[in-house]
Amino acid sequence: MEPVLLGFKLIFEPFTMMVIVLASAFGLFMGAMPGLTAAMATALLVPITFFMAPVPSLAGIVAACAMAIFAGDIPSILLRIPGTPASAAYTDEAYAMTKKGQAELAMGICLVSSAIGGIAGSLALALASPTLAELAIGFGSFEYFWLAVLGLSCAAFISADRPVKAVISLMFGLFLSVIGVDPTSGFPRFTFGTNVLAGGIEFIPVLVGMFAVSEVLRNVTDMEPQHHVGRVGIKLANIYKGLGGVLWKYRLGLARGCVVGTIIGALPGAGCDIAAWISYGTSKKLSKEPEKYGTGHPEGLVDAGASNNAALGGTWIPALVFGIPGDSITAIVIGVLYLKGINPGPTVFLQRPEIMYAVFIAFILANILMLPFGMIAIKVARYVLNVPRETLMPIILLFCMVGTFAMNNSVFGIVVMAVMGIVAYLMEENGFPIAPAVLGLVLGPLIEDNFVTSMMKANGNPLEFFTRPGAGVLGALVMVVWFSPLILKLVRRRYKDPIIPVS
Amino acid sequence: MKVSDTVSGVVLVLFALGVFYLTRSFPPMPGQRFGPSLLPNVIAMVLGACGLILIIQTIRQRKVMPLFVLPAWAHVPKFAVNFSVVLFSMFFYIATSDRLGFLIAGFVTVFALLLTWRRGTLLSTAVIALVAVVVIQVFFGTLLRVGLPWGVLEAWRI
Repeated sequence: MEPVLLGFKLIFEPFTMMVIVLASAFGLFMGAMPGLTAAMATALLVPITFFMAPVPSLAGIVAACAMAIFAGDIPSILLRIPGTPASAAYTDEAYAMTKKGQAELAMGICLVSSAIGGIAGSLALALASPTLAELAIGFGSFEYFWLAVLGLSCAAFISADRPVKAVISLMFGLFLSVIGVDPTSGFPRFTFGTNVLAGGIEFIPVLVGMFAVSEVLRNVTDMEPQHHVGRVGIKLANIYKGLGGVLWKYRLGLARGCVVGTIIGALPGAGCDIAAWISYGTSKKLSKEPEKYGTGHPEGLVDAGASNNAALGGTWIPALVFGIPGDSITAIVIGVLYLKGINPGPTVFLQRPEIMYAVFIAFILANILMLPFGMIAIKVARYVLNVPRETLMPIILLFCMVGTFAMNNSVFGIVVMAVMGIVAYLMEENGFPIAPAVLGLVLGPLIEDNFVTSMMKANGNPLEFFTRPGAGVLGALVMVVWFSPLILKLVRRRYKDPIIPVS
Repeated sequence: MKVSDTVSGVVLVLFALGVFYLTRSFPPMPGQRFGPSLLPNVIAMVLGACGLILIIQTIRQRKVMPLFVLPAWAHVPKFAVNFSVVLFSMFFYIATSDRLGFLIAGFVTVFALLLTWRRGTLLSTAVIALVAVVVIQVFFGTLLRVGLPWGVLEAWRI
């Protein structure tokens, strides 16, 4: 019990509480502003958390993300623009409710279902992680190598429409991670004799460049007028009016959203946005009145609103237990853990259990705080959404440059940030997803270390990678993921041949 | 800028060959057949293979695609300026922040960007830029104790 109590103590320290409150406000703002995402909020927070102890920095990231995912619903309801991609699944539905004069009800549903979903995801995280960690404690370098490869492969294959491009992005990230002095042999790789590259490409400049600078570039070249925030004229009355009845009526959907969201989140490669799409789709399929979907029907909103927040807790399960990030936010979190000298993975539950419990408590606390803070955010949303993006973007850009510089007081970091921002912008323009690149950069050292150690143990024989039972199963799983696109293609081709004539 | 997949594929194959060339000089670990060149070579192999797949896929589609296409916004002067001004301001900040100091370089950067994007009087633009720079200086420089450069203002360092 002691680590749990210690976790509580760490969270309820005045400084940590202050960080949680400020990060919440920051997350609500970033989530509510269209064009600024939860991943960008996390990326901008990282240079600041660099100066803090592990618990306040992790608690701050947790609070900011949870709030940002909820706050993404606010502009969906008011302007029909999702604040973050996680709200895109039900933006049309939410706005249809506003047009019917039910903006208050839509806000209430989104806020309360987000909080409930978030708490469900947090509980799943708190209960599942220690158990899974016990299971993973017997893993050696072979298993870790396969786990990391599995995480990366799922990330490349699950969510991408063109897996080849996701693999290229992943390899690009891995390549960035091998630049610099090789830790095992001390040999400088791809440094071209320079000193600045000897220390390697640092994680934070890449992160800020890829998630924030590229976003700024996209924002300033956005020609579609619908993305330009208009004036919000709606005044909101009591958001809790009639809410209890609606939530009770759709309690099953709410529960389903919590479960589906957590599970989808825990799968590597699928995050909050995919959870919301799947939950909205399932809700429609299983509903008694599917014809009402799209006309401002609250049922899908209850499901998907809970689901995307539940997924946030879910994504942290593989990240904390195995050190394998499932999406871009957890990739950032893992990078932060390494920076703090904490190696994510099952041993962390033995060595620093209080930090893990503090994270769980922060998750639950953030979702409870979401109710009062969300209320305030909804009240002031009218004013916040009217802040012009033209004023915001220059300040964000300067913030990125100063934040990157702050890491080690070197201008070279800003150069890396700028280059990566342009590279990420070009990649996205050409259909290369950027999240796998960040995963590759973060997991690169882990993969290389375990790969080289395993190769030495195996005397260079690759078949040894499959001889231990755990490693064999994981290796086989990786093969399934790798060859699934090919197998699916063959199956489809087979069924295209009309064996049974269609009448 | 949209680049055709053929071009991306060729670039990747060339990149892979370049990595193979550079790793030839990497020494193996004592007593082993492999060393620091192992992972870079694996990465290069996968990248080269992916590059070939991209090339083959475009050939099989049999559509003639231009090698480079500028995005629609690049033909609208306003957006072309928007884009270049971001690049230029980053370049400006990188080149001058050390000599001019954060306060001046940061102010000029934000002021120039605001001037390009925002409608408003010169005075209001200057005030916003000044407030932004001072807030960031206090936050990072004073609270987080980051050694932001003072440059020409060194004599007035607080």
